[in-house]
Amino acid sequence: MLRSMRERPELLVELDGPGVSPDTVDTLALLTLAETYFRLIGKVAEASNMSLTFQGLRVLDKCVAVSATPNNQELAQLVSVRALRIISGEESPPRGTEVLTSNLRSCLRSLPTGHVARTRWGKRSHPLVAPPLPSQEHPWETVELRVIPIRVGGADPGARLRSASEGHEFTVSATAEHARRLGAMLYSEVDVELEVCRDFEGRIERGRVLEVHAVSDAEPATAWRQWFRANAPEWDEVDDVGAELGRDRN
Amino acid sequence: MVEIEIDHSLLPNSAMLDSSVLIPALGKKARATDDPACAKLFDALVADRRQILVSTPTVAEILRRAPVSPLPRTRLVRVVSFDLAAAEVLGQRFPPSVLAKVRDDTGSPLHYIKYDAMIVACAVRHRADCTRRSWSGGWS
Repeated sequence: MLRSMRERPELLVELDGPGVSPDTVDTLALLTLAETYFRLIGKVAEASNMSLTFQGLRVLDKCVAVSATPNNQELAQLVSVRALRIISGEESPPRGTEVLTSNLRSCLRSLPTGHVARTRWGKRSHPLVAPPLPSQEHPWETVELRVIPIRVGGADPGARLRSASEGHEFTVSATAEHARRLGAMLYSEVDVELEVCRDFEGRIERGRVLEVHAVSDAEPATAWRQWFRANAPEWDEVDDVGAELGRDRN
Repeated sequence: MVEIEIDHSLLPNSAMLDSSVLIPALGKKARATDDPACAKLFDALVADRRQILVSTPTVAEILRRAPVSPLPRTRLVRVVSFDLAAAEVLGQRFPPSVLAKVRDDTGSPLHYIKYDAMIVACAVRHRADCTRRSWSGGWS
């Protein structure tokens, strides 16, 4: 029996659909969905420097639901509402939650037609909805990023890159010459111009290297001040930088 | 002259510096007289090996004529572009209604607010921990 949520506030993930019952539910689909959801909730809380854990596990009848009890009820409620926006694509996933968000969306998209996943807090039930995948091919864009080459090679040369500007590592193709240059700079910072194509979540799914620029070992403050002196000496004649920029609020 | 001390324990891992910080941080006169805290902040971030981000809209504000040399590509200072992903951040977080409200609340000109929003969008897109700007009223 479903106990009153007032007695024991729990966060539920439920799966409903034609013929879905505890005896017929796809075990792995439900468990993966629930695990990914609870992990995402914890990670979203963590992104706001808060801790949220869950204890206990109940599998409930009616449709089929998995429930767990949070250590902090108010926080769980707040985070679960925010997670709905993140999962639906209304809000960008905070740093560190991109992979879990993407995995949960994949779980939701792989549910059989007619099946619906919901989350429930108390009496409030909300459908878990992944954003639709665009049917058209994604646009290509040119970007310049500071990256660290992690791996370079292959019969068709490619490079696995890490960048502080992206939430994930990604692989791009390269000419043999670019691959040689990147290979000589493994685990060092280098600037690259890339042509990339992103998936719906904004992750680079493929691309190619257009240019490679070495990063200098010069002392940064000295190099930047020399550049400024050569290229923007007019600013030394300016008494009030803020006003000159049009930023003076007074 | 007021002695400025930087609390290194409060420095972020990465910070986007806008023109109102970068120009005093790099310019000789400003370094001496205008806002010495900017130069101190820049030097402290470098000394502590924290990442400084400089957006291309900021470079556009600094340059007042054709550059005579390319921007330095040095470790710890990363020039980041206002690219498609940054444009999407701008559209999502700073639509015209938000910019107009900031204009009404602050009295600042819309072109300045838009520029600032572009710089903040670059900071979000390139995952800076914080953005630093200064004006006559203080720091943000």
